[in-house]
Amino acid sequence: MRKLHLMNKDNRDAKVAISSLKYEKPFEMGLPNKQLKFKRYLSATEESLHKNLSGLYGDNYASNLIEENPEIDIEAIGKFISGTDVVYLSNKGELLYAPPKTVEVIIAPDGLEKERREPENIPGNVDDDLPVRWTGKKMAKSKVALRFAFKRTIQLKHVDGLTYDYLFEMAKELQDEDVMVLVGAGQKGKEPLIFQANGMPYRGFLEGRVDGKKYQLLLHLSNMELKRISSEPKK
Amino acid sequence: MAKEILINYQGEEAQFSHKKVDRSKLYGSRKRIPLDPTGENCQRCELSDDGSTLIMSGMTSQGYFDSDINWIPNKELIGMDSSGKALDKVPATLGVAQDAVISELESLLDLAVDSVYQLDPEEVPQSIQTVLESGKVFNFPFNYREDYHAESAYLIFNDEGYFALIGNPVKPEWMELDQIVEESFESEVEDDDDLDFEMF
Repeated sequence: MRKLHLMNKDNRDAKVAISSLKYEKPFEMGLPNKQLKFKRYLSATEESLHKNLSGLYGDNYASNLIEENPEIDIEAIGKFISGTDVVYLSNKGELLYAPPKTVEVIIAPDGLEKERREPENIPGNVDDDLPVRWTGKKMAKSKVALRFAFKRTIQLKHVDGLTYDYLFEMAKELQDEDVMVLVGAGQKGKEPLIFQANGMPYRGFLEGRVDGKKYQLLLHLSNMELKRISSEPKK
Repeated sequence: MAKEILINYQGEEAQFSHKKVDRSKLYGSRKRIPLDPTGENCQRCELSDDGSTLIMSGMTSQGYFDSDINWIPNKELIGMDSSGKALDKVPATLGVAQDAVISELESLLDLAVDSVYQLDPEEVPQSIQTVLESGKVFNFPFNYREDYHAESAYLIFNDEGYFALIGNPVKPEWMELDQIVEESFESEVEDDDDLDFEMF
């Protein structure tokens, strides 16, 4: 059970349970009455990669592929690959024995490189220490639904009677006002939610639903507004 | 050019050309590149766990194998439900008018969005436009190419124009006082995205 430290509009905080809502894929690919396994295997060797063979054979590449099958190394191809370790080769193809330096490249929306800089490690901010807070920014549910694409939804759940009251009241307030509230993380509760170090930041909106004594309190996560690509004006 | 998204509402048909929108096209993206000691780009490879094979990009494939280690070509595979029953294929929906219904916003909020398309209207009947301008949304089936499952699509209209949100619905659970939250030790929030965020 994963927990979320949450603070309401009255600065009352509590730790509640959360679960990610997932869609169950309704089918699997396979063959009737056969157990199949999905495996990764070696399909080429370094020598038989396209760039090497094309360089080796030049204009005779196609005819050599047909007549001599140089792309197939019977001894190596078909070997199943299970565990691997990541290794880096230098630009000259030599194995590196120390971790490489990394640089962060910023790509503009048009696909062009904009900037290179030292990578910055961004810690997660959704944890036990600082609560995720109501920002006070309430927006009509209809506006939020039409303005953001929600990739994930997390359901908040009570862990005891007190947190049931706490979450139920939140859900009821949001439903009665027909709004969603923006929640934020960090010291001031204004930052987007980052669930793990260097993870994707999300805008989080709480939505409440109530049916009698039952409730649903949902944290919808978005990393994208519904807007047009800037180079393409609306028709 | 891809076929259009067509929807049918009460006998009237709207037609839209479409283009996929993703974060990198709106906000740009970031990526981390490893450099060798001379400042040149490194090549990321894998070493097999027995240490015998250096695996470079383009050297592996993956596929299905039976218990006798026979490779099963993808074209022989079929879709099956959880009981192992073979399923019929669902045809692609592009270029074919799909029946649309007006949907509650809660259903849209319960959609785990996989992809977003910006739409350019070729033809939108007044009856459909009126519904959209009132802040309501249409729901219709969507299948980019023939396979075993159609996704759920929502047609929406906002200040920026028309959009189709494609995904699959999730089902929140109604919580009651006496419900006990089950203990589990799996990580509930996975983050499989690249670090490419510029929205804020």
